[in-house]
Amino acid sequence: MVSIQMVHAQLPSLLLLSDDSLYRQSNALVLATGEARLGSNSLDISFMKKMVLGGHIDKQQISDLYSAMGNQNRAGYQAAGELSFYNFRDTLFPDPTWGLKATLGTNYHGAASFNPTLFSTIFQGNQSFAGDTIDLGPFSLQTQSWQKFGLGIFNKKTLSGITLSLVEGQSFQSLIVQQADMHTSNTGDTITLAPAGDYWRSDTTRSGWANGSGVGVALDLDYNLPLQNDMGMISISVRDLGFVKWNDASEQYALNHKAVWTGLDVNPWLQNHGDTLSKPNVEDSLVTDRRQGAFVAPLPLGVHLRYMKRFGRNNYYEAGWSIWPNRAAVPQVYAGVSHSFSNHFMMSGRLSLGGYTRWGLGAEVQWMPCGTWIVRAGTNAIGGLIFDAAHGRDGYVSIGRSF
Amino acid sequence: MRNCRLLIVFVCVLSFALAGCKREEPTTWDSSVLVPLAHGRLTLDNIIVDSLLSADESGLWHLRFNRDLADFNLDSIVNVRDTVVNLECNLPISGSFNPGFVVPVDFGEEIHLNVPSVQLKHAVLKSGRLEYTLISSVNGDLICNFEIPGLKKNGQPELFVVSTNPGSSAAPYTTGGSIDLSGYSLDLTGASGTTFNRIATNFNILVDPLAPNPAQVIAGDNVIMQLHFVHPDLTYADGYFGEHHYNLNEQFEVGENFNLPSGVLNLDGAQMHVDVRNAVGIDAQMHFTNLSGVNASGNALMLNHGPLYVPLNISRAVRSGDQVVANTYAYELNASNSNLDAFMEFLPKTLNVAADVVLNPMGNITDGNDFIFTADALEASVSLDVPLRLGMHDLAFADTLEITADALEEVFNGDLVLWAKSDFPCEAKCDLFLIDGSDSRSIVENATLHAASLTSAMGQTAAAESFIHLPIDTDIITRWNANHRLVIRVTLNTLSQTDVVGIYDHFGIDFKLIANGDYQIHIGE
Repeated sequence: MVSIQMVHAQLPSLLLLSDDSLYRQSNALVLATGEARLGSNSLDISFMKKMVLGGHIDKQQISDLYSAMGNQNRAGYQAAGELSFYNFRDTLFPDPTWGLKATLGTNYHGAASFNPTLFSTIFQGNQSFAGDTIDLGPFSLQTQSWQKFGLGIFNKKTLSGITLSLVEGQSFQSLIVQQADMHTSNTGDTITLAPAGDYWRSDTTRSGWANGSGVGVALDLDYNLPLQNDMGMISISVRDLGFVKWNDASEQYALNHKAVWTGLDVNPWLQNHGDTLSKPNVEDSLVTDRRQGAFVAPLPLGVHLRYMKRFGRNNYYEAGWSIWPNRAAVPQVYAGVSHSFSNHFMMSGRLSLGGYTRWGLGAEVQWMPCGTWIVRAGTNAIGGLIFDAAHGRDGYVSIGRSF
Repeated sequence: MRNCRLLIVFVCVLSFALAGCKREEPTTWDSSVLVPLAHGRLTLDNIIVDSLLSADESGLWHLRFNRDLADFNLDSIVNVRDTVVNLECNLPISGSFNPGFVVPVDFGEEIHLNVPSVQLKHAVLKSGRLEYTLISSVNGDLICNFEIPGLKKNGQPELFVVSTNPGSSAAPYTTGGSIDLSGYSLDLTGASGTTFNRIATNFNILVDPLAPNPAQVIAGDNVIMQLHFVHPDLTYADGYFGEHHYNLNEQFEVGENFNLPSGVLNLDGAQMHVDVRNAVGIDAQMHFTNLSGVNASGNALMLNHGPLYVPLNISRAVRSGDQVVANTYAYELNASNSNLDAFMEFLPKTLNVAADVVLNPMGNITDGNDFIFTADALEASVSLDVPLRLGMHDLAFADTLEITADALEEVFNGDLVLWAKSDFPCEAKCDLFLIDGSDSRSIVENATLHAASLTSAMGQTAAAESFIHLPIDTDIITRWNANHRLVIRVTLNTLSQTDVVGIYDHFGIDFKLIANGDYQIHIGE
């Protein structure tokens, strides 16, 4: 009997490359994976850490970030946890080649694309734009969280497989603004905002895991092709190919109305001393078309390709790319080398480029204690763990055991 | 084993790393904002209490002040005090009386109301209660009928029918109850119909026809009706109310609803009316001896108007049924017959009124036909009408506000910019500062709101724009949150102190408040 736990988008390569295939002889493999990444091509770790964990962001830091920004910038996060159960017994048809697989996972994803003017307006203020009209767009912000309950089949030798999951949508927000002209008058007595875009969000009355805000399906695919003579492998993975239908309480707003802000109108209060002074609802001013009802939105898809080839006795070089077809991320490519110290221990180093961040130097350790455990831990950005000036931080961990 | 220990260490390190990822403080940054906060239009009726201000047909604002000078409280003259009376009904014969037998009684009592110094003939009650207690020493079941012919409601005399059980001299039977006196009328002329303050009564007793046994009566047994008039309050009374002397000495706060300014004010066209109205059927004489004002500096100035200080004979009102025709007397004071303008320019803070009043100065000349409806009696009032046509020189309003609002959490360094466009033809200089004991921090000094220029005599002006910068920093916010008091001082000046300008209802100040500075944004609190 074998048990495992694991992390990252693709299976640990040690499971596929190791000469020790003891775990395949066991009854089952339990694998737990966890992954978290945060990155941007323009925002640094110090900034993102303060945004997430709190703290004061000083003016100089904001100014430095702004001056280094490109025309369009990106930031994103992704976090996932998954528990997988691989059944190696011949229970399918019964077929000695294919086994059954069950997964349970939770996922969080968010991505933003913005121009420097939007960043400057939010973090440096509109004072310097007095008398000017600026375009805050294009801008997009999408966040989504969902849980998956999957069943699938896998090839016992290559661990290639397919999993079909029932998806429980937890929450969804999508703000896509093509253009947003903002004008601040010379004296500051009027601010005008004319956006053109859409804002969709799921049922806001529900919270927590599997709350029924949406339901959908997702397909996860793994194709692992070992090279001849144990010279390496090619892996292709597709994650979250699917959709969620968000329920009838979901909302869709069209942001297409010019809003003019001149401050609170205090006349009602002046005329009726003692009446409360209520703040106008800016959202109401901006939105002219609100529709409540169900809609379908795709899950954030991820496609990953990995190529590993042995050189020398215990070394591999590796190359690959990942794509996330959303408005913020760019394709990520990477290359690296791995050294296998034994059948049970491998270390890797990688250089990656793209994704939500700029580039990163990564490292990974894979270890199979006793031949029945599998532990993998790694990062794609060592700098992000050490330097606050880095633009990304991530980490992944897998722990598994065969029984 | 070694591998397992390494695995435990790995899991522990991972747990600590994850536990560190927790938000412990808000995310903050300073943003240089230029944002409109508020806008509106301030008019005079936003500042001064509505009841004091009204515009005439030309739109000119008038400050109007009405006040009762004296509450003569004439209903106290006819005040009926709480009265307790015991009406004793003696049974003069002995015997055993069968059910239904009317027992002979010896009774001829009247109710004497406790009304000192006046002789009331009739009255109507608006409230009060009559409590009664019947005490019987007769050994038998009786029915006692106690009637008050002079106490009526809707024309019906009040009749108390009280059943008793057997009692004795040693242990008399006692029962009681009460009635609400609201709306009752009283005939206080007694059984004879010619006296006053007395109410006639009747008493008869019979053995309860349903009694199981005859009543055993011993000569000397009695039945006592005890009556208690509790807080009787009259709405009408007639009779002779007597001769009364009053000395009025009242003091009023003129600026009760707004802070009176200091400085030099030139008014034009002020009018004052002093009215006396007598709706009571009593002759009276009123003699004002003083009507003066005291300003904020403690100086006094008497209002001079000769006729006001001559004794005024006030004739009694005339009554026809429920209709009363009151007699009124009015004094009109203005700049030509008094020193009213100077009196108002003196800016009196309090008004002192002294007068001698005599009621029925000639005695009972109507043979007891004085009357009063207590809701509408003798009153004196003053009404002041000041058209806001004025000239001002350093006319200063000041107010101190206790800061009791919730603490400001905001962090702001910069200016609050007040843009104002004023139609008022007067200049305003404003000082704002925070004080705590002797510690003072100025927010702004001599901030000037420019005067509009007059373009016509009928109140058309060319509005003037002003920008006032209020520098705000963390020190001011800290003081604001430390329960300091905010002192506001506004000094008004017209172009000329002697040439008056009118203040019209279309005048106002359009304003916008704009924040221009570094505002600290907080998220995730």
